[in-house]
Amino acid sequence: MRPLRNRHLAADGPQPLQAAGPASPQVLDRLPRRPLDIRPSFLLQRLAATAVAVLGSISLVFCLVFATGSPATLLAGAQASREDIAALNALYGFDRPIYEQYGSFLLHAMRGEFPHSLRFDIPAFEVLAPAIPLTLLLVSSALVVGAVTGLAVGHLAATASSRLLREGPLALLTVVQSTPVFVTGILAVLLFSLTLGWFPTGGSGSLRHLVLPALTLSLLIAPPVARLFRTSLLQQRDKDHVRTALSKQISRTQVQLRHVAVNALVPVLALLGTQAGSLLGGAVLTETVFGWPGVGTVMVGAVGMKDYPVILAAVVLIAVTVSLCNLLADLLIAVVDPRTTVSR
Amino acid sequence: MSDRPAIFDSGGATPRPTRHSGFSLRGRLGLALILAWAVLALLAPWISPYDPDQSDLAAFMAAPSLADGHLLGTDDLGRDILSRIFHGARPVLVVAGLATLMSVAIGAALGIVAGYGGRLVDQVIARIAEIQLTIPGLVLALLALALFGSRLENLIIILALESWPLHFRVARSYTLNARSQGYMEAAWLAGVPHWRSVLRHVVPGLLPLLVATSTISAAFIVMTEAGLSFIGLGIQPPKADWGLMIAQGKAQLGAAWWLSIMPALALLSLLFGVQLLGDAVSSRLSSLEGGGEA
Amino acid sequence: MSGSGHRLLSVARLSVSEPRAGRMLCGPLSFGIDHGRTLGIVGESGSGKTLTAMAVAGLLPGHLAAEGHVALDGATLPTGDAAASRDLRTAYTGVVFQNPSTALNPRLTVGAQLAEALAPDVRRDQARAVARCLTLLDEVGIREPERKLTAWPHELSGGIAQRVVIAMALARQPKLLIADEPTTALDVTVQAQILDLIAGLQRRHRFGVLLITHDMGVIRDRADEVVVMAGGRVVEHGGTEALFAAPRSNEAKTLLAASEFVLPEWNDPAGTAPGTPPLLEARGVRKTFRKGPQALAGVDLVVRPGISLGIVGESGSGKSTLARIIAGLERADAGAIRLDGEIRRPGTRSDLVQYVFQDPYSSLDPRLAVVDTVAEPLRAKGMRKADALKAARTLLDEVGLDPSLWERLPGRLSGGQRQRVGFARAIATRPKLLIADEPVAALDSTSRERVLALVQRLQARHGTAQLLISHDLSVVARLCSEVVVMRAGEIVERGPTRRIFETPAHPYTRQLLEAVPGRRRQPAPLIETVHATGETT
Repeated sequence: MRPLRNRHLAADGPQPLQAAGPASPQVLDRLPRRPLDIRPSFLLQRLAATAVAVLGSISLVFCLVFATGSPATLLAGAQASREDIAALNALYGFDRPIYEQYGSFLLHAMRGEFPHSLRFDIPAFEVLAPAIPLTLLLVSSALVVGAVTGLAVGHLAATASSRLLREGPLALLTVVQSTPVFVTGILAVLLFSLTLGWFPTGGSGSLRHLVLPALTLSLLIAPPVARLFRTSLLQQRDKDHVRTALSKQISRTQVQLRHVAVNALVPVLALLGTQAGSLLGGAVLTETVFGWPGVGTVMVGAVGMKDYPVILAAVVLIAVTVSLCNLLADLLIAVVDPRTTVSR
Repeated sequence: MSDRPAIFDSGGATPRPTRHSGFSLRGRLGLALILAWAVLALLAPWISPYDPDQSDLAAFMAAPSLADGHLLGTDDLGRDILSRIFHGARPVLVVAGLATLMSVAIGAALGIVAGYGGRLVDQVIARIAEIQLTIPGLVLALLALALFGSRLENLIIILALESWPLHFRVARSYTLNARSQGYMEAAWLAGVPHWRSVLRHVVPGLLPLLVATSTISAAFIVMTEAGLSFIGLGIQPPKADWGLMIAQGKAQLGAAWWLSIMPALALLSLLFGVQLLGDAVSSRLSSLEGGGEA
Repeated sequence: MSGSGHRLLSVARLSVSEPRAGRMLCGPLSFGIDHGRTLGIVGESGSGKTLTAMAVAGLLPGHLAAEGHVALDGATLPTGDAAASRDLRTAYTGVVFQNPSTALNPRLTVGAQLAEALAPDVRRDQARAVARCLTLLDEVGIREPERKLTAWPHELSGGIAQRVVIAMALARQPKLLIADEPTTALDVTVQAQILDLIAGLQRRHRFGVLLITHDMGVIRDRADEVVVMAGGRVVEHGGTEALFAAPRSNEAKTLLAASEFVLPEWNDPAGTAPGTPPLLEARGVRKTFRKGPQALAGVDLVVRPGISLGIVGESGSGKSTLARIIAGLERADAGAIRLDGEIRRPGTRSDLVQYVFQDPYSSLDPRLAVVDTVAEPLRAKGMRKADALKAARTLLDEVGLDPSLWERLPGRLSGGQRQRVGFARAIATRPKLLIADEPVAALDSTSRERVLALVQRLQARHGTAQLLISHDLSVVARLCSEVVVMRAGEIVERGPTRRIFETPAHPYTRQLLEAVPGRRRQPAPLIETVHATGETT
């Protein structure tokens, strides 16, 4: 064999390995984790995508309103006087060319300004405002409960040693997945409120009021999370880097946690981002079933009363929330998986 | 909905056609459930024991029983629930069937165009799909129906327009992938026209994927249709519709549970059938992908 | 470490089975390694060589089970999955895997993964751990080890990533290094560096090496002893010298033939008159991909009728891009292409050129019967269906595909058979220029041999000009009369094959030739590359 030219290998024979230079102090601080570096370009790109989504969804709402033919009459109400419509036109320009209408609608919507509610005669957004925290409370508790349940069931389904534990809970969730959320709600009311009397049938005000709606809504998110986490765990388990980790002197539990489970979480985070929309949609139905006075209940009430300004405000509010959730999920993924900041 | 990576990733692998079309037991059960409801809906006027709109004040909120002829009981206006369930299957199936077909057609066409056309076309269509997804399906449908009125045709159109992005994504990624495959490039080099190449090399492989996505869409559409009727924006009373019946019975849940629960069970059985069928199609596809190379 | 009287590794009646399917996958086999020596296991894909290595390393996938006796430096390693067995193995063995780009966890920094590979007592003390990691990275020839500690795996080139994997294998000062096809996924010049690195480390630390490879050239350069595997069992076992001098088994002979580097006698381009107008003339072809480096930096190329021209180069050299631009599958940013004297508009096709693709799997539509695939170009030219099918059958016969496969779907065909179909489709319309992009890169040695013979036969029969793209010099040497050497989007050398291979003028050509495994014993200039930072993927 020809001699090697690598300077480190120039001297033959075994040598103690510790002989090399000391590490600089900063390196000590940095190992084993590199400080979080979300690239500005990635951040800008995600922010731009969010802005496009928000603007786009408001535009979509505008298109629908415009397609009805007479936005001013619609928003001023059937009983509106000539002056009412003139006042609305002065503010929103519904008598001006379409691009001006569009621009003005966009600007107002971004600031949360919509015409007065036809029912309460206060700005539409103020009708919604008291309902927002209630919806956020409902949705976030459902998200936490649903995600935790889904992850637990998914992990069981991928790793449990007994077949019953692997397949039972997942099969149960699969059945739940094809149950509409309002049916789940009604069954829950029938069982836990009317038959067992454990929880109130509806309304809000205490933690006990929150339990049934939150559980009902959580069942919307748990099945997809469980199924995806299971698939993802099984995929990660067979990856080459897991075999590499197994060749190291570390315990199987460590390999399972650091190299399988956390890696498998990345697609689940992406799923949670995309499920924000269906969760909020499900919240509308859940709130209706339980009379939970959130944004959904207000919106459905407004539909019944043909209170269009409030409906528009609610739709825009929901679209913005969904976009922000997607942004949040993207950033979370970037934290867990460094590749995303580059490859997206 | 997004837990079927086998479908979404299948741009990468190429599923083979099925020569022996043996379906799993679950798949057959699912298909049987759907077909059973279709037959019941079709024959509703002839097999219903009562007129679904006929009030029978003598039998007001009668409990389900074999004795007095109201097998599943009557509602708060004394209408026979079984008859209403048979008739209520009609709007659900019509809406689900037509809206699913429309959404698949729109999504697949746009997907092939986006995958085959230039970057600009692709970007524009993909952006529109993305924007649409930021407004939850139920909320967008609620807005549209509030603006344009709760008519059956509006319901079908809005649900179809809402469901196309799923098929679009699958069709687009499949087309993009197929286009870069050697066999498409070879066809182009040999002078095969584009449209023919698409028909010969893209469509046959895409169809099974679209069958799988259409079951997902159908489940979503059935749920949304029922949900919209439940909040009063879908099918309007006095027509019979499952979602509407569940909503109308909700107030009487303590006194007469069957008002809501019976139509809910009908809805569940249909959705369960769709889900079983969808799972069977997806797992068949992924097994074809996995074990295809011999 | 040594001198205990035991062999470093002794394996007896080792077998791997799939208990659930009741299948025996490989074995029983027995072999051993002495301290500081290298045992090579060689065989085609599917011969069971990787399973054997993983069984020794205790890293078989969960559904497989190993049986038999494995002893490391006198201590018996239980074959089961017990924690004790894992402890013993991981303490004394290091493993280098085939594909460095997937062997590292994409989610963790190099430092985090390297620190994890240290022995538990070193790992606990952070200062010691960092110092040791830096030493290791330095030892495997990685520049700026401090910066690499905090790098993500996707920021590394293939060669650097493999060095990191080697550093992880070294981390616990193993007695045995198991290297499973450590260079298959890398470029030729990088391959040589990695193998040199392992050899150097071996000399320094005196560990034994179990080297798995499909390449006889690598065995000749690196192994003291060799085991030839086929179909899950050992077909030949002995000293490397002896095996190369007199191979006994057919399998060893086939493998040797595949690694041989023969310059054909007949390829003398002076035979064709220099006066004939070129069939293909490319001038100043440039291409830069979106978000990528420059793929082609102004390339000129001439192919005369009936000539077989080879383009060699490593991945990223732009050779495939050039071929795709010539075929019209890709648009050039600048430059002109003349075919038979006529300027070709960019992005248009020509009946004169046909293409054979690298990947035999994606090049055939899985839903079309083989005969329909071959008939497709004829149908596109307006031939009636019955005639086209008849012609397609003649073509399939010509490329030597078994008639029983003609009506089948490609899923039933092997890689080599698919590639024949690809050739049949390409010659169906009688092109004047046939471009073949790495036609045998994805095939094992037996089918490779047959496809190469087919290419030779087709060339002899039809006299079609060929443009053959390959990273494998032996393929080009065998089939081409002229060679073009590409590097980083430029042509660095061109000329008759024999001249280039015997007296290469450009240093890069020499480096490429030098890196071919199995050619080491010929005198050749040494490579100047010491550290590996200059590599690109």
